[in-house]
Parts: sequence; structure tokens; C-alpha cells
Amino acid sequence: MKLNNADHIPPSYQQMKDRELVHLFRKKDDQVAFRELMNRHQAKVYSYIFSMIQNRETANDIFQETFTKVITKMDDTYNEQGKWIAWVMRIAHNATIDHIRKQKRFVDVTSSYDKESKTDFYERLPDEDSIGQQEKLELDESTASLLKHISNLPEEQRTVVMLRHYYEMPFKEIAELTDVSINTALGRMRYALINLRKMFDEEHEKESNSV
Amino acid sequence: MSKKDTRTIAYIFNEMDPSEEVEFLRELENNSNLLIEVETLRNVNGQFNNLPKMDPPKHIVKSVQDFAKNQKKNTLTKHSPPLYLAVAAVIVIG
Repeated sequence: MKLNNADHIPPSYQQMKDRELVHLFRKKDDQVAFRELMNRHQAKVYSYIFSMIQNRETANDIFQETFTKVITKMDDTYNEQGKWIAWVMRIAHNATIDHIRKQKRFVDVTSSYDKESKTDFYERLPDEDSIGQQEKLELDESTASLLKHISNLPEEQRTVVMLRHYYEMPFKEIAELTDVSINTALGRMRYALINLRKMFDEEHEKESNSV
Repeated sequence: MSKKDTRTIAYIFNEMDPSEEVEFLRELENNSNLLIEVETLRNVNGQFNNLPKMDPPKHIVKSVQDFAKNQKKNTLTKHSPPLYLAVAAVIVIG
């Protein structure tokens, strides 16, 4: 299908449901349908990946890897009965977690423990990565601080927070995606909020001590 | 973590059954510690509204769309025999 205006998507496509668009793309090679699917969901998928990795370049790579898999595997592994975006998020989540785990494998944890800050290399790594990114994104101070604290959460807590925030995923689906019970998913969110609260308090304490 | 501990989260995120919610609200009226926990966690959760939603760079989106175009083209070429083969088959069978 050849398009005259690459950016224009007819209103009729914008009114279609995801599954109708997926069907058009799979069966009729309808590129407009695919573009509309991307328009709808790319920000959620990208924001999720970025919030987990906090590095633009890596987030770009994982985003591309995710959609390459989506396109190549859609005919074989996607069942049209299920929600397309849930299937895409599973691919994005797996690619993101794979990347985080691969990164961790290259580091000797015990040798990099910092007694002063009571953190290991993993805990400090996202901070260092995120500083440059936050500058590039020109975030305000409180958002940058929030992102920094989120990056210090354990991976499983960060995952629940981000899936819920960016995708508004029900806890039942988060549980399925991360292979845990609903109660565990809810518990991870609770710990994440409690930990963030502690981090904010510590930050405020530091600020008031320095004044 | 016990189900009792996670009720606060289910309540804050509107994922409670109606009957469970009625019971929880009743408890909330009589338990100030529970009320403080709900308000505290809700307040932290509210901070997420400040998180930016980010679009991928345009060149990345374009490369994904190009890939989709080429991939589909390849798949179709691989699976659909050319028209003349179909015509030839009809002639042979006919």
C-alpha cells in the first residue's frame, strides 16, 4: 500500500478497535492500520521502557527490538482473542528485564558495595545513567528527583509501579505478566510506595540539614 | 504479604470488590492508623502524575514502520506464488 501523505491517518482508522487494526495489518498488509496502532500505544510502551532503563539510547534500542519482534511474531504467536497491547507490553517487559539482567551479570556485586552510602553498584548505576538523561529531558527538579528515587527501587517494585502508571494495567494483568499472584503484585506496589515515601523523607531531611 | 496488608493498595487503585470496599470503608472510619496509611500512600502515588510521558524519537518510529512495510512485503512474496503460476496450474488441470 502506497501512502501519499505519510503522517495522515484517516478518521475511520482512529475509530477502529485495536483488534480490527491488527486484523487489517495481518491479513491485508494495511500499513495505515499499523501506524494507527503505533500512534495509540508508542508513548506508553516507550515511557515504560525508558522509566525502567533511564537511558535514551538503550530505550531506543529496546523499543525497536520490541516492535521488530511484534512485527515478525505477530502472525505466529499473537492470538487475536487476547488484547494486542497486553501482548506487546509482555514483549517490551521481557526485553527490558533481559537487558537489566544482562547488565547486572557483568558486575561483581560484592566488590562494589559502598559502605558509606550503603548501596551496591546496581543501586547506584541507574542514578548515574539518569543524570544525563534528566538534563537532556529538561525535567523540573521534583520530577528528576522522583525519577531518581524510582530508579533506586528494586526491579520488581519498579516494574509494578511503571506498568500501572504508564499502561494503567490492572493488578491481575501485572501479576500474569510477572508470573506472581495478585497479592504479590499488590504487595510490591505497597512496598514501592512505602520505600518512595522513605526516600522522600530522607531527601527532605538532608535538605533541611544543609540549610 | 498478607491480604490484609495489600487491601490499602487495592482500595487506592479502585481494585476492590464492592462488598470488600464497604467493609474496608467501615474499618477506615474506626481505625486512624489505617486512614493515615491510605492518605500517605495515596499522596506518594499522586506524585506519579508528574512523570512525563515520552514519545520515541521520530527516526525510531520511522524505522519501525519501514521494517513493518518490508517485512510484510517479504512475507507476502514468500507465501503467495505469482499469478502466472496459478494461471498455469489452472491450464494444466483444465
